[in-house]
Amino acid sequence: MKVIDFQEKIYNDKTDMWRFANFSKLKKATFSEEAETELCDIESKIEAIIEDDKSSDRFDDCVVIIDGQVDNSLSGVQNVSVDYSQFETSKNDDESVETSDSVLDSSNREWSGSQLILNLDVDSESSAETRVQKRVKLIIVSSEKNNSVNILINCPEKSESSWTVLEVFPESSSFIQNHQLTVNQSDSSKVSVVYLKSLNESTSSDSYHFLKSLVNLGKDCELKTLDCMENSSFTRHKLTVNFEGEDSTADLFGLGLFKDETAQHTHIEINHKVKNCTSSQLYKHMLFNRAYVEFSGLVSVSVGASGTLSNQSNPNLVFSDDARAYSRPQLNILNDDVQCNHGATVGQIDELSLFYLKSRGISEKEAKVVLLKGFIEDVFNDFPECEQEKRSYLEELRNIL
Amino acid sequence: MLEIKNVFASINGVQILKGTNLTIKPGEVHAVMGPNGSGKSTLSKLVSGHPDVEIESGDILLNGESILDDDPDIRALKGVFMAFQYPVEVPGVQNGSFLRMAYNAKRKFQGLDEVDPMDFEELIQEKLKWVGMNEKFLDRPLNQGFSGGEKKRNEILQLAVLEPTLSILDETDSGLDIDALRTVSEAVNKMINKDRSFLVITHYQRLLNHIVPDVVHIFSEGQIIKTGDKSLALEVEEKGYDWLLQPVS
Amino acid sequence: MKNESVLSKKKIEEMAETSYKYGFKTDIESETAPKGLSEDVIRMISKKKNEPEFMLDFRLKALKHLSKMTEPDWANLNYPKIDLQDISYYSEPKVKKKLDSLDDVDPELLKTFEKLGIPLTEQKKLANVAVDAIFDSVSVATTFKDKLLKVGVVFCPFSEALEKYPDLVKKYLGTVVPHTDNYFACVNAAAFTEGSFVYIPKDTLCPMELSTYFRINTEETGQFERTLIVCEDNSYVSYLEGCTAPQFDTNQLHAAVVELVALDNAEIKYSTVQNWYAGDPVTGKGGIYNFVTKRGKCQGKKSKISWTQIETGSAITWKYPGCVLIGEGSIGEFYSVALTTHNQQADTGTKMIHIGKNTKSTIISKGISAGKSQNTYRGLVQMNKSAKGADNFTQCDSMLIGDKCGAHTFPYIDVRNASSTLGHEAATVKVTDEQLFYFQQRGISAEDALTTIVNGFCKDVFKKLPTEFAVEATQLLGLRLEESVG
Repeated sequence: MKVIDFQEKIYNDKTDMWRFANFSKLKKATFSEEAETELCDIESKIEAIIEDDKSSDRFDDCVVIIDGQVDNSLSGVQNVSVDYSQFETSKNDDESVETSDSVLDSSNREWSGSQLILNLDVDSESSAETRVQKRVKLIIVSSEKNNSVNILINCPEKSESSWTVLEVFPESSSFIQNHQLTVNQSDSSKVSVVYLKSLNESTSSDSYHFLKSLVNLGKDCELKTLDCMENSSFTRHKLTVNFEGEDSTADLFGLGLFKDETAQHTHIEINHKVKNCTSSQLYKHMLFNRAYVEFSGLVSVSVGASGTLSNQSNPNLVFSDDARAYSRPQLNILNDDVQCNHGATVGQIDELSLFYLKSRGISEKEAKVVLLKGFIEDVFNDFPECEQEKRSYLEELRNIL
Repeated sequence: MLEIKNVFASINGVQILKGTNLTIKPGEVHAVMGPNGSGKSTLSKLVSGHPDVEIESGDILLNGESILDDDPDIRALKGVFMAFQYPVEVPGVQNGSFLRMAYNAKRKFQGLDEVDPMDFEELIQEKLKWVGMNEKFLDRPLNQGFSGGEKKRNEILQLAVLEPTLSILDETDSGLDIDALRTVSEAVNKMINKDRSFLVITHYQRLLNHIVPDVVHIFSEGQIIKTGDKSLALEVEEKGYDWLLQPVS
Repeated sequence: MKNESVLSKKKIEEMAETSYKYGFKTDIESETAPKGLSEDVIRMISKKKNEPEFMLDFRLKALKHLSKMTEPDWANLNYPKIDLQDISYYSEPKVKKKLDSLDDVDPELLKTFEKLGIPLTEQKKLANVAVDAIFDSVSVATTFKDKLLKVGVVFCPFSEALEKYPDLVKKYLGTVVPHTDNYFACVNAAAFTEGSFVYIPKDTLCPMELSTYFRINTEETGQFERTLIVCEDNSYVSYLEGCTAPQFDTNQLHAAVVELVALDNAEIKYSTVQNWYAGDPVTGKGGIYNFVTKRGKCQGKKSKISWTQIETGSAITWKYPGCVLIGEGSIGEFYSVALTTHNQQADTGTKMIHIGKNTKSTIISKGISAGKSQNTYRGLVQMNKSAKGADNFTQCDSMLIGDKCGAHTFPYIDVRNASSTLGHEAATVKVTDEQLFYFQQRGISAEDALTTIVNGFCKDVFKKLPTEFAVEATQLLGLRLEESVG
């Protein structure tokens, strides 16, 4: 698929899933299709990251993926086996109506060419007591302007793993990235996925970052995700969670600090297909400057999904009259034995709390930092490994305020 | 009045009552005591017809007639009242109008005219005093936002207004402070007469200092393992349940 | 009064026996226009009603624009496409002589009103409520008009307003819901035949609650009502709308438009109890399609518009009564109960557009789904950059009864400034077995228990209704639930 077709098709989708994204710039933008490799620059940066991770012992494995291929010289892999699966050449089923979603899918297949499969190995000897969490870091590097990676992670039965995803974008001024990440959780597995901010946040006006994540949960599984959102000109992350087996839990967290002319579109879709599963979403946004942030969280409960518990909260703090917070906490319920609580708020830092702190001699700026620290705190509760990220958020806040 | 005849019953497929026998005559106050998890609360669900209780065998007679086929509301109208251990909250439904609804359902069952809100208000003034509540209590949503004590008082208010012939108090003393316990007990004592029977289910003896039972049963593993007079309760208070449980196991 | 919104079992039984009590068809010959929408039909309607020139222009402009519009398909509704050319746009009872008193009204018609429970003949019972009854498209009887006129309040059929107050109509018509707003509003603008007009002059509190009972009668006749209410500075009106419809086999389209304008310090309270025929309980055939555009404009400072709706009828409901809050400190409110049973589908909610400073809105929506029905809340709260200090609170709860129905919540929250606050809460509420058992243990049947619990769930909305309406609404809900759960 040519980039120009991609631009055209994405733009035409007027469904609720797409119409709040402003693609007028995308339509007009010109993208050169030539590769523009500056790999050596990137490589040295990655090496520095790996070195840093090693010294702090944050990860067991590090998988460096450059343009869809695992780079063996940079990666350090012990617990993961790597496989590739070529996509069949597209069959062109022209009867189906093209939606923006199907455009993303087909362009991803076409641009990536193959699926990268990461199989987590488990030590079959280990029992439940001795099992340790495998900590894997994925560094996804794109050297090309218009790039797609398609990754499938298989987490076997009873495994425990955490996956930290760091994307590295091309340094060039304009690009389209269209990645897909699928996680299959076999029964009784525990998975944690953290999406870090990309290494080089592009502030240029023509960078478009699409990411589609899909997690399928088997029986008795646990999933935790944390999305540290981009602060780039356009990011759309669609995260779908399917409960395929009973008694599973998924807790999704997100934190966004948007300080520039940012467009962030988060689309969560949680499908409760089976009984007794629990899901929660906590997505917190802070909007400065000309940030435009869309949050769409949809929970669907199927006819058979009795005993579903679902919670959702999307607090937004808006600091600028030029910012725009768009929130859609949605429910689709086809079962009467469920408990769903959904909500969104938009507001500012509580004046009273601010006054209270100031009356104790704390400067306005410091008071705000303290209160915002409280605001972001609980997003990180389940991710002790992200202490460093939390600190960097606070640092950023301090700089903005 | 009430006869429970060799009842075997289960909840969610787990057998809880294993051959329970109990006979209560008119005017009698019976206490059922037992350790936690003995199945004594299932007894109250059994008599009041809770849908969770599945009866495998045996029979329950009320005034000589089996009530096994009666829905819970019919049993209630025939005079069975249960004071819930955990009264449920119902948002938006006014406590007072719920009470009147129940009262009128009973009047209708007895072939009497329903009472209008004004008359009803007058009628319950005295009963409100019994449980130490004022009229504002009636304007609040049913059990919603009630403290533990208020919930129990409300149960006893309903008991006092509905004047049932068989009252089952399911752990009514739990969550009550000593003053509330006294108020509630006094209200119950006012209700006791030769036609009304009471079944008091409790873990502790202290309630029985206030509501004095004629007969005390010790309940364990789905059966009554010992029956005596009020002194049995004191003995349990002193020695605990263990000495009674030994011979069974 | 301690008298709660609790229904006695007796009443439910009575109501249940009548099944659909308004399911009959009056036997009066009607004059009906040929099917289809065209310039000729529009001109015919306009001519029949002796309309001024500007009205015809308004209609023709809408008709012209209609060709550019398409039927909206975004709602969570499933129904066959509506063929506008298969609908007749005008019908009127043959008895259409101007009537001065009720004695002149066709006795057959009066009987219909009696069956409907509109106590036109027993004015004492009307208790301060003036009724402008609409039978099909032509208004035949209006009461209390004189009393209202004494204080300067105008409450009359739309056609009469065009005749007597053309300037007022011209000034406000289409200013809140323009013909370009949506497909159904556009159809209405082109083809509306009747409706109500209310004008409350400056510094006037309307001395009584105004009430209009709509009624669809002639088979296959779409109803395109148009209501315009204007409240001048410092005035107040409470307006009631209630609907019932006879049983038919063919679906009937209803695309009404309601426009409210509130100037400085004015307050409009608009309440609806909607109980149109929902279609055959088993097949779902024959119910009303209700595509309504209702919007209020809080134009003046500190003005207030409050929508309260009890939606229980119709096969399809597509309705989003909203407020455009322009005046500084103006207030918009939306209180809604939507009950769907059997095969009903409802996609309803509100739109609150905050434009002025310190504007405030409150949304409370209670959706109850039973049977095989689908119930959707769809609501927009938009706070523009200019709406500094705006505030919104939204609570939308759903209750599901049974395992074949669906409840859906689709809020759209859009905040574009840094001084507004907004809170949206949504929850699903379940009638628990423990609650039902508690009622039964007190001698109350499961059916009564359910009705009482559901009414309790809706209480926050019911208490916003005028008293007589609250009773009616409670009964309606009980009846509907009884039919479906039984």
